[in-house]
Amino acid sequence: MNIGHYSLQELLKKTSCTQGVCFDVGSFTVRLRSSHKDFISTFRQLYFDFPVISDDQLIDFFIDMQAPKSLRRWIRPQIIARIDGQEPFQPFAPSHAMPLFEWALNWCIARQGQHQLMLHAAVLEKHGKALILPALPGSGKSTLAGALAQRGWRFLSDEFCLIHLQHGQVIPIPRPTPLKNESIDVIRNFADSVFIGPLFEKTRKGTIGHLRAPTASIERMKETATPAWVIFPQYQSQSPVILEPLNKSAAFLKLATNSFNYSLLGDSGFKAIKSIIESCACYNLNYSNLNDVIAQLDALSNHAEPAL
Amino acid sequence: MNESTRWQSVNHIETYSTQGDDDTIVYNPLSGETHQLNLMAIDALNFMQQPANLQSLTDHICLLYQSPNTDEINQQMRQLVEQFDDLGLITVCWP
Repeated sequence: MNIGHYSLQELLKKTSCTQGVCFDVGSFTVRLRSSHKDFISTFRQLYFDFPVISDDQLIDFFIDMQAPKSLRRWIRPQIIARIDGQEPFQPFAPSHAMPLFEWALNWCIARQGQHQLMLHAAVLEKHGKALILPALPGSGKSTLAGALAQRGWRFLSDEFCLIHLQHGQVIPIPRPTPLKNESIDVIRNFADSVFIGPLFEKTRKGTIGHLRAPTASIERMKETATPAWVIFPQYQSQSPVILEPLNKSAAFLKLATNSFNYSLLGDSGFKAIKSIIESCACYNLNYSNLNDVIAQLDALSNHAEPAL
Repeated sequence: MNESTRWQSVNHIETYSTQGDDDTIVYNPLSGETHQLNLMAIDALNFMQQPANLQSLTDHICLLYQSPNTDEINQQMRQLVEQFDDLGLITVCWP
């Protein structure tokens, strides 16, 4: 059973009770409790295809999205994200509950995913091979990942690239992609079939709209993928597609710098990055036109040997 | 730096290099830091897997690169040893 199988009323009833609703996001399980109707409505739209799990099993994160127990419940209302009993974030306006929930879930993963190498990267897959797109904010990573996901690439993640330290595979976590500002219209115009949730204006990152992950990607979220390409994308207005091979030592340092927990993992982190760089072709990518860059990446994947 | 001081690289250093790439990535488990070393620096560090003083290191590098043993090379090696020491990649061998 998926989140979308519940009507809004059924889901709201479930999330309002003590147990909340428990669901699987790939490599983690989440218990969500909230009685905020607008938030649950948006959550239902964006997490429509994610499987519901029974509430009597071990859950990784418990996120409780509720009004504070103060006058702010009534006067200029707010909403807080309580995570396993802690409140690490400032309260938000209730209208911004969805971005708050996403940031809370990011916080949970960043804190509790330390047994894996965590890269700040989007990941897509074709023929069993993973394309890792590590990038700084503003590079166009999410836009490119969102577009590739509409053109036959399986979407594994947008924010966190999780690498298993033993077998080196990428572990999917295909949550909604937070598109920012101009990217929202770019993706809307790119494919008719995309679903983008309500827009949240004046957040720390400007206007945000969450792109729902393709159903097929969520259905396959337990399938890991073998790293094959590490490509550092950079959107540059008017730029033709420039895909330049990057020497491996430079790629190593760029990827290590891009990791959330490379230093923390010590020797294991070094070995994990080394393994990725050894098995991947590495490139710098400049682009402006999505159709052109996708054609180039398709050609790259079509010339590759399928993963074993 | 005393000319007779002997230095040795620390244990369990991890490296990563590829053919055709002049630089080597070095991970120092004692500091937890990662460094990028050029070809001559990694040759020097490899030589110091056995205890070596500044003169023997300079002689080795001059031989390896078929370079005359000049004051300039000696000064470069002195700076390299000081940098390695700062990074914790080598340690003094006490007699």
